[in-house]
Amino acid sequence: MQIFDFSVFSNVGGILYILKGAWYTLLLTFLSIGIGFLVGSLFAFCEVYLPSPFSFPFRAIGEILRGIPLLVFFLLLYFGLRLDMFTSAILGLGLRSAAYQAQIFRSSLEAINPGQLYAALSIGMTKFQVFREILLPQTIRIMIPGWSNEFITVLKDTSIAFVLGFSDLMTRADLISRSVGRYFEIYIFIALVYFLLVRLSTFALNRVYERIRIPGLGEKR
Amino acid sequence: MEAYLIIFQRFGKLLLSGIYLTVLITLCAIIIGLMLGFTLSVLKLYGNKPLKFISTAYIELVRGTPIIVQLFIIYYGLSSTGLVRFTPMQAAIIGMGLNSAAYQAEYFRAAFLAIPTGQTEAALSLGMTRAKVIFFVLLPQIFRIVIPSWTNELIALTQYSSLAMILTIMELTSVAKYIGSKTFFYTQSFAIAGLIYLTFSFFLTRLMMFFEKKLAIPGISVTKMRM
Amino acid sequence: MKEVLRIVDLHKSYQKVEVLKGVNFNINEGETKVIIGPSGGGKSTLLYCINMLVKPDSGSVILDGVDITKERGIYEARQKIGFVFQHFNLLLHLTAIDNVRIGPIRVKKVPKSEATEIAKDALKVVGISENLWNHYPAQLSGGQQQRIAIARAIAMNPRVILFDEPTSALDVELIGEVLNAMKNLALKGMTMLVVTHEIGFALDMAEEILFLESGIILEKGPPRKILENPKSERLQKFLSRLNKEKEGF
Repeated sequence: MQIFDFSVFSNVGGILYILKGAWYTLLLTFLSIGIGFLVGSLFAFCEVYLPSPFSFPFRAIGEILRGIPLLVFFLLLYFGLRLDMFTSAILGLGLRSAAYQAQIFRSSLEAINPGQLYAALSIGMTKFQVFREILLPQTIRIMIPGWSNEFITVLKDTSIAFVLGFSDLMTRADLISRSVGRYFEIYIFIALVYFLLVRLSTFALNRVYERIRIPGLGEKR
Repeated sequence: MEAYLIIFQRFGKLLLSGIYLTVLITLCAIIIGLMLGFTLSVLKLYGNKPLKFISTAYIELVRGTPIIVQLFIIYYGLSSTGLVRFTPMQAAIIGMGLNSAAYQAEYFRAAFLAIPTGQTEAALSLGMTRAKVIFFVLLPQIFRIVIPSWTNELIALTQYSSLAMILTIMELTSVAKYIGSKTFFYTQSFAIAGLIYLTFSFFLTRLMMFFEKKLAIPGISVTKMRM
Repeated sequence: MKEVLRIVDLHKSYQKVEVLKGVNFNINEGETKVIIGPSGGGKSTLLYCINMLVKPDSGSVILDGVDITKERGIYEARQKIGFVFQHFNLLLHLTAIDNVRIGPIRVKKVPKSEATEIAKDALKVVGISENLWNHYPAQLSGGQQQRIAIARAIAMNPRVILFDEPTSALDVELIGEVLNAMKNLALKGMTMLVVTHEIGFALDMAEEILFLESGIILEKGPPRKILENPKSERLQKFLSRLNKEKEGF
């Protein structure tokens, strides 16, 4: 038996089929990150700004979502709550990402020097203005490194949706390798595809970061 | 609900064996990850050019690809080439260990970098060799700095061990699915599994705080890291 | 008098900038020499080159007749050269006495009991009382930390101790205790090379002052002579600036 059989790649149809899965992978990633962003920011806000008894449930939900494995969550949604594959995948990844993004938001919000807020209030700004002019722009920049990390993590974790039969890179690779009977080459191949996707995403995110960066603000890498 | 009672009654033993396998995989993997990861970070920071390249390449590749793909390469991939044929347990532990090593390498590297350079200069000026500097000066400090991120890694591994289910290992998540398939109480069994994982997280976090306090040395601050 | 240290034509560049452009001087046993000069003149670089924490581009550092820039065995050489840093650099995970002991125990392989005695003596020389011996650096003042750093250097029984602006990072009221410890040390016969702005110390204790400016020793001589009759214009400017600072400009 050969160690690396390049002839596997001559099956262009199969290879293209796998590569098209990348589209689904990215789609899932963006949708989940999006949900995570909306829900996560809401949660972070409630956790930080609501008075004690009300903020607790938000904190608790966050801890639960972060404390159970993604796989268990997927299976719970799919088998337990009988949601369809697509919904389970998006909700699973999305809510979990929300919990992590809430963490990132929260620590970014807390990292802002309160002195600035007092200064803003004392020149007569309303709370909403303080939020829009000071909190928001600074939080976004402080948050970027952690948020970029989360994006990459979600991108990689989409592969777990494979157990739900979602038609992404991983599932397709599994399908093709079973039909061809050669696993090693195919999986090395998609490892490289994922790696490329991760690299490209990192690059793109860094470009955005450079654009909106403010010296002196944000974490040292 | 009686569903829970039924699950515990009929499948209590199975759940325990599932927990056992989860813990086993996690512990073996974290230890492999610790030894390899630490070595990688030292090579990346203090090694010569080729060593730096190899360690950096390893870390980038492993952190840049999903863990499932890595597991599949080790389990299905290698056996299809006929080179080695790992059992599911072996593949799971090796795969998670190699994966964890890449992440731990970065945590250790950050800890190394968090130590003021003056420490190394002072140690060198006493006549210590590089090895002695690492062992007597850097390690004791790193040990404390790295506790939070290392604990996070341990918690993460506990959760990722659930992926061993895909390799047909009957760890906790696998057991939960099995119970669900037998009783149709899917929600309840996964809830139980989830609760058990949560308890692990909680327990490990408390353990970390305890050790942080106990080992604290005034003046050595701990870096809190997100994964 | 035996020559302990001889620096011969030392050159060092960082990127394209030449920081040391051929430094020459020597120190004999028991002497204290002080290096003064403007920031960026290469003073710290010079000291770091002497114990080879930084490798000079050319030139020699000759310790007790042996050129340590050429031979191997820099680790043994460093045991004979003590170094006191501007920012103390005490090992943060060790107590005061452990900091002083670690050199003898781990590097010189001295048995712990003997090393402890050496450490205690060194700590007494610099005036650190016994109740502080088990404190961690973070729990001590800058002055205390620096004196412990000096004790750490003493404990290795070096041929010479290098001081890199030992009081620059200290609050004003703590400078005195460190300078006193250094004076004590010099009176006991230790060979010392000190980079500092504390002219008072130089006047009291130094056999010679070396003016390092733009990478070379522009002028050198006995303290009184140099400070009262500076020959070069640059030294005159430097001294007048120092005086102005002292008068609280």
